[in-house]
Amino acid sequence: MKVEDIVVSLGGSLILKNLSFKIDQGETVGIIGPNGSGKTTLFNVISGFIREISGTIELDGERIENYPPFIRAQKGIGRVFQSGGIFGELTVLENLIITGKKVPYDELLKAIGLLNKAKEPASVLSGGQKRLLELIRAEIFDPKVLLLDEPTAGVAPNMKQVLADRINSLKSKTRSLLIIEHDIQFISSLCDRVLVLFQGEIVMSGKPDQVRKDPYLQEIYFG
Amino acid sequence: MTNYLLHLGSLLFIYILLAQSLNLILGAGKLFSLGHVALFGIGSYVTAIGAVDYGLDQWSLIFLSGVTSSVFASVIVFTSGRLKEEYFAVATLAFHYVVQSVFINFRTVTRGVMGIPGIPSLYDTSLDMFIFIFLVSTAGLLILKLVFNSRLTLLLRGLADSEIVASSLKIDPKIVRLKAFVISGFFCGVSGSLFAYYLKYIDPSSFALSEIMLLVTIVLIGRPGSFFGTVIASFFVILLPEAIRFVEFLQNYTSILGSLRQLIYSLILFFAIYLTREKIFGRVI
Repeated sequence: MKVEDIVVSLGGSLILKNLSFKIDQGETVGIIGPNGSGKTTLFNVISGFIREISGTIELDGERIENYPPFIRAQKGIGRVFQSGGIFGELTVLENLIITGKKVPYDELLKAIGLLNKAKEPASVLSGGQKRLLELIRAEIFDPKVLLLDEPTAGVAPNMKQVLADRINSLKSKTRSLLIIEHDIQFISSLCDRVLVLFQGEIVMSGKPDQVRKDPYLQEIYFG
Repeated sequence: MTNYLLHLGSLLFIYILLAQSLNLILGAGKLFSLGHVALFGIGSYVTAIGAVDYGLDQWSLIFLSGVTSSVFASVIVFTSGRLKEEYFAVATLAFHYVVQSVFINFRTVTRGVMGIPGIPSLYDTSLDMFIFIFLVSTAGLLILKLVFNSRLTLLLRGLADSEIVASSLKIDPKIVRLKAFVISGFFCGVSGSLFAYYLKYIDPSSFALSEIMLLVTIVLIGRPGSFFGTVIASFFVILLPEAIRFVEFLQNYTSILGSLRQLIYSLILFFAIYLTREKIFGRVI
């Protein structure tokens, strides 16, 4: 996927400024940056929820920036949301059935320990369970590029490793992952490369260890 | 007395089918449609005009009424499908008034407020007519039950829950709503057709806005989205006001019975909306 010269202006403020990057097939890229740096806006642009932009987005050589979200999803853009990514009023099982895919739902739910909650409304799940359910659902769709927006936000510390294992299992040679995360250690364990976003621009890019040790990162986060 | 019960039964099954059509949209889809009585009216007028002016048979007209209402239901989606909550309700309210205005003013076709009398009787006895309505309505309800159990309804519920999440799962909101409205509109038209055949006379007053309150009350009391809840609520809402007629101490106050029924509807509707407000509007209002 190639993102080129993306400019987004919301309410008179420039949120993303000529943002460009490329993510290779099978690559896992982390995006870090302080609050308000434009990370979630970037995901909204890629998945089509913000379309008033300039710049281009290419997936497998095809321009997708003018497509609505559901067509981008059909083209292979998957997304795990920061919050509210499951249908709380549907049951846990219905959250998977809605995909319309013929897969063994029971086995998938068993794998994430939610088989006994299959008939319960998904709203009763804990933050970590909701995230696991969303990850499983994303897996069913087999997207070419999966956007994960702060997968550990609001999740109990003991669930973080479970989520990391699940995200690792989503990696494949044909699937690229783009992960927004504040937990630098968490992202370092998962990603091949990290982009640092600050005030709507990519200010740093490199291997996780290299970025983590850079004093400029401390400056961005702590001033 | 038997004829009276058959009369109630006939109306009941017409309204169950109509309320269930609304339940698909309002209950499962959380789309507050105020246009369903207009769709019901369109079905009635198609049958009345087709039977009186063109002498078409009942099966063709029941189908044609359903299809015509479906077409108009799809117009609602194309013009208002992207509107949310109360804005959608206002848009469908406008649709209702436009359609009712056509019923009243397009006199060369609808005969305006004079209405259309002389819709031919399908059967000689009330019992036969009741059986006919019962069978057509039940067939419609069985199809709607399949729709309620289908993925379409699941998608509709998902969209009602979160359109953003649904869109990220390859679901096209407009197509899902269009399919639901086409199906719902079809059965509004069918129930409208049965209504015209049953009464043998229709005029615009049968499709006044107050009728939608009756349907909304049924859906809300029956628990929005619940198929069997709507069936049971239809019995309750349609038959309860009739039961009041037989309350002995009210016999001397026949002049206030009409307004008493309105009052009961209003109270039921108030409490039903109060208790189900989060299910309908997705937030406390």
